[in-house]
Amino acid sequence: MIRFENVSMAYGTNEIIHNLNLKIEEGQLAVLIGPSGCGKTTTLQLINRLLNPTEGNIFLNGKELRGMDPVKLRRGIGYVIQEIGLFPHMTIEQNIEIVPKLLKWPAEKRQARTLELLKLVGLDPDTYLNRYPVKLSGGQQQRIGLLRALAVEPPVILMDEPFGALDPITRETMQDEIKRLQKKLKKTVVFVTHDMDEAIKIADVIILMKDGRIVQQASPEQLLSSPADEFVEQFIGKHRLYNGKPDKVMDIMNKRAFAVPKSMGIAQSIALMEQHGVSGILVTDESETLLGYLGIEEIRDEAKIGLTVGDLRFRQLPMVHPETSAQEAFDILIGRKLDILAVVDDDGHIHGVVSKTSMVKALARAVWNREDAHV
Amino acid sequence: MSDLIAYYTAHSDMVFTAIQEHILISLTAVCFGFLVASPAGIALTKHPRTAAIVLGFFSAVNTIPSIVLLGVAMMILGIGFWPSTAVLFLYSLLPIMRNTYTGITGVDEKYIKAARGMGMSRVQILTKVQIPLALPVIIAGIRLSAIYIISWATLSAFIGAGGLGDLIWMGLQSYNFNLVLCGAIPATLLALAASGLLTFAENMASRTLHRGGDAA
Repeated sequence: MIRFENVSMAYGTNEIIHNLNLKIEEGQLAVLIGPSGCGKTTTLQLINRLLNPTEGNIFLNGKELRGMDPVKLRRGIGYVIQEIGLFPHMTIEQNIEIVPKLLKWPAEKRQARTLELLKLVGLDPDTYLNRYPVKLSGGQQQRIGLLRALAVEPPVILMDEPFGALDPITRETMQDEIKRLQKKLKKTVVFVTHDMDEAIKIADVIILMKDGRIVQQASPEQLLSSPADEFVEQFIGKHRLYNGKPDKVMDIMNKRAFAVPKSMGIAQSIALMEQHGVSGILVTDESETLLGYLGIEEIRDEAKIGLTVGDLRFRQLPMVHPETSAQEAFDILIGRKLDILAVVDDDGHIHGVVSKTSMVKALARAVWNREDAHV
Repeated sequence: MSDLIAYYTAHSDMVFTAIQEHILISLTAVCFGFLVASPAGIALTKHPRTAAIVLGFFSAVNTIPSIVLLGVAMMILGIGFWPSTAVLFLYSLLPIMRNTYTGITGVDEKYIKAARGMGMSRVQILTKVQIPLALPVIIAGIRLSAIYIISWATLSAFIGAGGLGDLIWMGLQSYNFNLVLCGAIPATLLALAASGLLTFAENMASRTLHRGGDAA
């Protein structure tokens, strides 16, 4: 659908794009991503000839761009920008109908299309047609911006950080929306962003750029599981997939185990448990060596005001070493029908606990690639 | 006061003719000024360096006392309607040209970017986006111009163009202050009326841009 062949682009002597080769298939949502100054927006603008390459050829549907009239070309390609750029002196209807008018569509066809488009994103025509852009929220404005780009059903849509100026919640909704529309309408979308979350969420293919070159072009899964080099690894950062299964106890344990010194009062401990919604605490001595575990049952049965947790009888917890394999810890937990394992090093210091919950979290991380997955 | 009214009633025909002449001179100057200065202002937006020179030149022209320019015009073009209209025309150029230039260059880049990306030609960007968005500023330029020209048109009586300046000039020469006022008051009112009318137009244009409500 879109093909770059040895494309270079320079402003004067300053070359921004170096010998770029790129192929984007029909119906794909391709995300151009990279640090600022990497040439992603320049690459995008080469496609609708807002910029022209100094060397090389770009093909759209097999046709060389150089031979086409840029103005006509742009009418056949949707374009959405971060600043949205709805015209304030035109109503929503007039804004959506700009390109249809440029292409001299008859009035009935234009109106029918506008109604269809508003329906597509669930905006009520009676409310919105005659409204002016100032009256719309940022999210609504960008929805109209999107419709304006879709008006003449262009096969290709270019989006330049379209959701960059929106608040996080609206941005999420718009990402879902663009993904839905792209699949439904089978458009080829080229989408520029610097937000990896956004790229992973919506992309069919991610094109990671640096200094005017493509570092890696791959599906989100491929990119995460086999980054091409250190730069890619660094750029995808927290999204990196675990290589294989989580293998050690230290990878899956809950590091925020509630450990209290044995000198802590009972009332204070109960308050702490309540506050954090946990049903048990670990008790350590002054050098943070694990003494045992107190569940809510033990506390209920023996607690009297004025005692410290050190006065109660602890439950002894099975202990595992941080370097133990996760598989083994899992077997102990399930095999002995336990709720919790303490993770303790050779010196008896507590590092965390392994519970069924922390196991599930670790699995979720592996499945959804998210460091911060919540279960 | 009653003196003045009596004087005016007796000479209303003369005052009326002078008002008509005054409007004709001012209107002609501002219309020609608009026809020349606004396209020039638009053209200058494509050549910022030339713009600085041209706008600087006309600022200099506008600092020349009008009486001097009228004298020059009389030497070259003779006396009557056209020489004085020509001088006023020269004065009318700067405000319109400058405001057209700043209005168009002041249009937010995002609108140009969107328009270009959607496939508008340069002419379409100008007529459908830049001019509508710059309209309030352009009208403000015309208003400034009109106010200047209406007051300076009183001086064109010096080279025989007629208008309200005639009454003021004759009144001053004959110590007839009623006659002076018969020229000065309508001239002031004309300037105020033109200003009010164009302020209204300016507000209409900017309301279209910053409309708070629905179109209906």
